[in-house]
Amino acid sequence: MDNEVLGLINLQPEQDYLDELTYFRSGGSVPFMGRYRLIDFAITSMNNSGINVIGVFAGNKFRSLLDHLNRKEDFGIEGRQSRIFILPPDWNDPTDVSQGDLKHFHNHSDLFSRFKGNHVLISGSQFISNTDYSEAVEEHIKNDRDVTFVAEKVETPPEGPILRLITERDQVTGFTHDQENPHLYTGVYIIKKSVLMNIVTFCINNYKPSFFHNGIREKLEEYNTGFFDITAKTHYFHSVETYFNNSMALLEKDRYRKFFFGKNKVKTKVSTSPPTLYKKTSNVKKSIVANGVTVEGNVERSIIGRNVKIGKGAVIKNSIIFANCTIEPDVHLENVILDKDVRITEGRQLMGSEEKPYVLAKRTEI
Amino acid sequence: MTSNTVAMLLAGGKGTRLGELTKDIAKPAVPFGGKYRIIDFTMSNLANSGISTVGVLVQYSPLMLNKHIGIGKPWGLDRQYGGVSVLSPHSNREGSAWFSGTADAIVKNLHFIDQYEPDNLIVLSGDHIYQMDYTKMLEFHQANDADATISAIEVPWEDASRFGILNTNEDMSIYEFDEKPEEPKNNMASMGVYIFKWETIRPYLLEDEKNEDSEHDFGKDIIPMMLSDEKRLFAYNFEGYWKDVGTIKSYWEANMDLLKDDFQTLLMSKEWPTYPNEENRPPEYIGETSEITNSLISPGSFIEGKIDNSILFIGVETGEGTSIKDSIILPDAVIGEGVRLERVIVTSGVEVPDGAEILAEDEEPIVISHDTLNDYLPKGGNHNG
Repeated sequence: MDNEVLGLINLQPEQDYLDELTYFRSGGSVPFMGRYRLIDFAITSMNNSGINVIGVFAGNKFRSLLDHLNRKEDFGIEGRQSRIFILPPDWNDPTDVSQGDLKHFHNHSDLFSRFKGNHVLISGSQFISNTDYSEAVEEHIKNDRDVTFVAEKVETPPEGPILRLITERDQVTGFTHDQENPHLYTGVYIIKKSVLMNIVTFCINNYKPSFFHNGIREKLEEYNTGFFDITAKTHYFHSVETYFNNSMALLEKDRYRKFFFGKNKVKTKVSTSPPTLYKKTSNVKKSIVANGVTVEGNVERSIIGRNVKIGKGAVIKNSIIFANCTIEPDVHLENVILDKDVRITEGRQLMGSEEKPYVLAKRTEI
Repeated sequence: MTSNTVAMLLAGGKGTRLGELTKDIAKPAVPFGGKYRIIDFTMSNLANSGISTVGVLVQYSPLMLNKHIGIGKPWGLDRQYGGVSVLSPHSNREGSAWFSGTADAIVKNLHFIDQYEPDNLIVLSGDHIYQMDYTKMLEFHQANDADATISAIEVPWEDASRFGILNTNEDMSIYEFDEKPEEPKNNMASMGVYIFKWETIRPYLLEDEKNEDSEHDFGKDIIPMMLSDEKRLFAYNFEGYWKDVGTIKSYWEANMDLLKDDFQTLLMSKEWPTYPNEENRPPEYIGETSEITNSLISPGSFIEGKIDNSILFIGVETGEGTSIKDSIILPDAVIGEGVRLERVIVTSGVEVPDGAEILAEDEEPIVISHDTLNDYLPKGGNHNG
């Protein structure tokens, strides 16, 4: 399967759902579980599937993404023929009339034409899993399908704007927001490259702005479709609350182990910081702690990012602290999310609720 | 100034006194401080000093060391000019031979050094824990127009007879190099860091190589020969942390030093970072029953139980009801439930079974390896296979 499938991570159509966390970065580069960013999981799953050329449609606010993805080897995309192409908005064609994410498909069409394989696996960043799409690709090719949608069947369907599949036998006949429908669509699909090229032309000629909605969803009956259900654990992000709940769910030991170690470890940018130092007064329970952290205070059910300093007597509960934050002595934090470089000065107390965590934007000082 | 300097890093040491720790790997490759290896301190010193032409001399069990150094990426030594070269014993038309001494190892790689036509050669050892700016020593070396400069550190008087002692005049010029003296005249010990003027040292090395009675050692042979020729030798006074991790006990102590407030810069310094060859592992999971005090924990770990005054390396797992004190747990070791460990070193990948109690009775830490584990477990029972 190597070199038969091109990976594409399309960040352009994604909304910046995560309030303060997506003020200055795209959804794909939101930090997660201490040292990762959400896009890492899409790359890891592609890498697990033997995909070694990946294009990223970067949309806007892509500075942190460029830095994060700058060494492909960190993500297991290794070897001379392997590449991660980060493709920011670059509207170079003066005759171009494309709209929406078609602008990306049109102006970066070299990505597809230069790739020798015949299929493209497209993913967003707001659905994460540590899985392997190889079987889905195999079925897609074996059945000579135009499009195969990657989905999962769940016991209790979650509420929220996650699309669900309507199927008839092995064909997909529609998408729905019916909250009772347990057949969740992950947003990942495998498409024949020739079909993709035709859709691009169709959308542009008809002034359509959305590759997926106008080109695929509204024209489903024209294609030979199928679906593949994955069984790996999944998480969907569409609000600060889901971000918070997904993080907290991964504090269960077995779940954390399965998700991050799985068949293959989740890959991310390799950076260097010393091991975590737990000082004499530290008291840490049921938490994920990244490297470079110094703990003198109390941490419970929390996720602590790189190089965070936690002072004596501080209490951090049910919270997510991003990299480089400083929590001074005797601070009390509960149900909060602190973005990077936040400083909470001595003795302050901040509390959100479990349903509505309190979010502090990057570089805030309180 | 650093561009005309070639560094030769001696990393072939067997480290016999480290026992089980160096059974399969060279001493410089022994894991240290949670996610590092001993050689990382010297490699980081080179990186931070801007010395970018480095030969790493390997000999004893070099597999792990070769893989670790690679093309020098963690230390920014993957370069188009210079960079790092791993130099192993080799054969040529004159024959083939192992490195038989520190000076001999350099002579056998003269062609490596010659290709850079350096002004200065800096000779380092890969088995010391310290943070040193070699450019300051180079400045001192050049200001004195020295033929050789040897860095020295003050050691406690009672230990002085274990070191090579530098006896100096007031201007720090050396008049005597006293190798492990019974009655030391002072307590300035050589750290095994030498800077030589290349054009001066080159003929000495070739001369010494011909002498069959020589041990081909810098301290024992080359330096005394230069002194008797009245060459300009200076001692460079280094102040700071320096530790030779030659024995199990000093290895244990040097690790424990990392937990002391005074020595936090060894790993935490932003100005003089220590660079490991980092792996992609998830942040550590600290479990419901954990009580961790005064300890270092590394990525990929799953921690339960009581951890006090200990250093846990990457990928370590500890079970509930376990108590680990004053101990060092090397990568990917698994400590079961209800285990009690005190003043022990568990080597890489060892699985300590549930309920085991292993406590060192005296100062000397116990090393638990795949081979020695059974010696410390109760005999009989189900483990008689």
